[in-house]
Amino acid sequence: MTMNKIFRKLRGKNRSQYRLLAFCIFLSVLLVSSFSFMYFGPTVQEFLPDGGDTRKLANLLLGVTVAGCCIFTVYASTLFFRYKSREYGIFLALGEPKRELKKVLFGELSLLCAAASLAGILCGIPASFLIWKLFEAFLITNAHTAYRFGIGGLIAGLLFALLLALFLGITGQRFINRTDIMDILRAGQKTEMVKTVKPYTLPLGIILTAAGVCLGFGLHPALVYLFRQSVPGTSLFYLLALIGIYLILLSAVSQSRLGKNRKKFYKNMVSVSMMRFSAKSATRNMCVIVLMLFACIFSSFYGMLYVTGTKTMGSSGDLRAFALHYPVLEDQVKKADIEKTAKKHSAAIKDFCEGDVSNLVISYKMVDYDDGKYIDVDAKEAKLALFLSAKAYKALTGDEVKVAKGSYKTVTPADYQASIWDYTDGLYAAANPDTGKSLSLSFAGTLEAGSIYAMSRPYAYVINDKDYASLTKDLSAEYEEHIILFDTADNDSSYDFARDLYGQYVSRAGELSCHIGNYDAWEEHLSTKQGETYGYSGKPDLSQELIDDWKYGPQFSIISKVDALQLLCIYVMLCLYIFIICLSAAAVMSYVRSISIAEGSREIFYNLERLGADAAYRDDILRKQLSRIFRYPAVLGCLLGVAFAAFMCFANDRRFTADEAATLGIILGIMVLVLMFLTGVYYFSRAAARRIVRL
Amino acid sequence: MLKVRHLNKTYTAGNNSYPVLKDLSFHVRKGEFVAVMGPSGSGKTTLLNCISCFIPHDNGQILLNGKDISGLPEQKMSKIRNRNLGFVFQDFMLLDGLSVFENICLPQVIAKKPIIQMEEKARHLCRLFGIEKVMEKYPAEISGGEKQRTAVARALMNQPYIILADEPTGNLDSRSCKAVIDAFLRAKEEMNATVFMVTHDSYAASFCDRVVVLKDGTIHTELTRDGSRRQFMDELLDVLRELGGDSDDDE
Repeated sequence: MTMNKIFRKLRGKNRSQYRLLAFCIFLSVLLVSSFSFMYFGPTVQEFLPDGGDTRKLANLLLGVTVAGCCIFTVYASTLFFRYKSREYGIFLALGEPKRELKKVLFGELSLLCAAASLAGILCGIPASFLIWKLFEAFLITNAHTAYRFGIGGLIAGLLFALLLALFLGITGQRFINRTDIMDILRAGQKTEMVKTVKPYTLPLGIILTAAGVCLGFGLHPALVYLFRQSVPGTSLFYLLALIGIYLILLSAVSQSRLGKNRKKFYKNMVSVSMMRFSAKSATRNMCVIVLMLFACIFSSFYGMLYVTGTKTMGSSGDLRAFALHYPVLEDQVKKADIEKTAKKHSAAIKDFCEGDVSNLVISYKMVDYDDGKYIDVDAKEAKLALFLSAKAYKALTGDEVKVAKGSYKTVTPADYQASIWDYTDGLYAAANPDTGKSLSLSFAGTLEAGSIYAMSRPYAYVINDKDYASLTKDLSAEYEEHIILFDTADNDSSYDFARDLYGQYVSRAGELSCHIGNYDAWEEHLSTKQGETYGYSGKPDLSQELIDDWKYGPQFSIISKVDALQLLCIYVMLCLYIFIICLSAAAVMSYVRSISIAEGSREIFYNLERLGADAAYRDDILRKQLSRIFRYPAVLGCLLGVAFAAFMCFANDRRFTADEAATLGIILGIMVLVLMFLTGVYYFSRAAARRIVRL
Repeated sequence: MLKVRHLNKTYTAGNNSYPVLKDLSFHVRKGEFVAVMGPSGSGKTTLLNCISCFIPHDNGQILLNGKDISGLPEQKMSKIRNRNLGFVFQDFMLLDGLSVFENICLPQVIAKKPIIQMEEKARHLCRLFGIEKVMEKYPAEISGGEKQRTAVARALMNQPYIILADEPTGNLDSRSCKAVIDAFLRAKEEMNATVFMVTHDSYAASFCDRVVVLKDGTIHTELTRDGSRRQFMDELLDVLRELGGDSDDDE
């Protein structure tokens, strides 16, 4: 018999501990590496602009994923080390040098990390491929969105595995550094007392949680909409919710008083008293589980929002799949160019229409944000907006529209809900920028044409033909724009045609159309006149393949869809990963806490047995203890997640759209699945705990 | 074999200091079976933990076979724990994943002793303490008395200078308690083992050669057995009654 054989035998006997740690390492590496294979793969990397917000966000979320995986794996390792502590305490007491134990521990940890990480990385490749295929299954695919393997993902996976090994090594080193044998031997028996829990703890907790969520989320939008007043720091109210959650859980864990229901009190007396010894740490632990489940539900909500949002993109809102507008003075693509390009790509053009429109100076009412307040502004002759004659509108959309003299109709997308900034009826006068001729106008309703709406800020307007002729008399060509709208026979198969046409459009774009989205020639003119620097004079980089912020950027829905698909893949994937990580972390933490409770109560269960408690009674006590650990955080975390999601949907535009209602329905379904999963973990943990207390 | 000179130990909690052992001096001769008794808070377990060097003491000397073992570096202390000290704990501290026989072998496995002699010695100890029938079983499958006898056998594997036992009968019924005390007595008779035992059980202590009674961190009295065991137990009970209160030790 040698030490190696003894350690091998001990490993064999404690296989479940090694399995749990190995599983957590495997899961962490699998999550991070499969994510990395996609994120660092050529498809996503070539698509995401360098230094762009999307890339920054993706990097940030990758960081969160890495941190989450590290935290839950290190947490799971504490159970592993707790089992080891008794073993190592005995070895130390029997004279085995710490150096030798350290060698064994690090040998075991290295092997475990290497094997589990290798498995995680290898499984990460097919996992990332399958997830990618899943996205492709319900969205448009083409050569640009094909899955491609990149070495970057492998390197990232390996680096993460090393990082995880480093954290586990530090935890192991800390464990081995504990020199006091008595502490090690009694590590599993440490308990703590909590102060008497007052009767008002639960009601106070509920009030604080509700107040925290309502004030944290609702106060700011309420102030803005009701009083046009922004107050910074309202997010601090969430702290109230956190304190409330702590109090609710503390009460659930350790409060039991002899009230009216004496039967219930005596029934729960033993299980509650057993929990009291570790109430503080159990409650802290449960709070983290609540937050994990909240993040879990919220990330799934966010992911679903992206999915539903992308499905409608380029279809319901847009009038036509292809929309172009550019200054008439530019030598841009014409009908013949478009048809020629379509022929090249075997695409058939249909519903082609075009027309000239004018930019006129508008006087309108709008809302501005200044010094923490939302203020109503009367913007007199402040900027340009696109104006269409009723005739031009009909030519572009095919819709006959009647507009009385001296009135206007505002162009909006379908199912439009006005934001706080702009009023659809805010316009009250328009003027010719060259001649200064002005005309008072009154609101006469709205028209739905998403493609045209997107061409002008705040809106595009349709006016009477005579008013249009009168206002545009002697208007120089520099204020005129040409609009082209059309579809193809099969819009979903028009990606190559769209990219070709986009390329031609960009290559022919000149100085006149080289402006960023917020540029306004009249505002620049006013600024220059007053000797001020104009803030939106920047130029878009027209050398890029796809240009983000471009006033005259073509609206090709197929490109937007593919663009959105890639973004969706990143966001949904990130949300999915955060969902999995948070759920895994909550499951692991609940399991570890259950085992800790069973370990800590082993002696008490033995004493209860000696006092004559039968197996059913002891089992019931164990069940009550463990169900508290699972039930309260699960219900609280999930409900908070759903409530927050509902708040967010409503606060966007003070209503629930059909998509949002559908998303919330799905989230409720996900919540049920999460609760079912946690129930499974509960039964698994209970079985393990029953073995510990010998039931 | 064991000499303790002017031993002091103080626990600190926040700004408060609690002296637990105050200038304690005594000795244990080779082959002697000595018990330490005293009321709750008298410092029994602290004394044992200081002698084991599981916790550091403030000042004083602990001489084992003439050598001061206090403040030794970790490596040397490990060697002393393995070769010169044997431990028996109240809750047995057996490795659940190892059989009884393997648990007993453990000190010699750590010391890398030759296997044949080690196994022979382990078998001998099993026979000596009446646990040869459960040799291949695991701790979970045997009784408390058998577990503690396994722990005593394990403590004796390297023929230590002294066995330090912390409430070895605390978790046992009277029959198992008798069997464990019998194991200590056999070790003393057949192997000339020295045993230093902390106990609150006057029945167990009545089998000892000498009992050191602690009160408030100092030696209240020392009783040496010179008559029958029953007389000695009566003497012990008288002293404990005089001290007042029970002698439960949970410090």
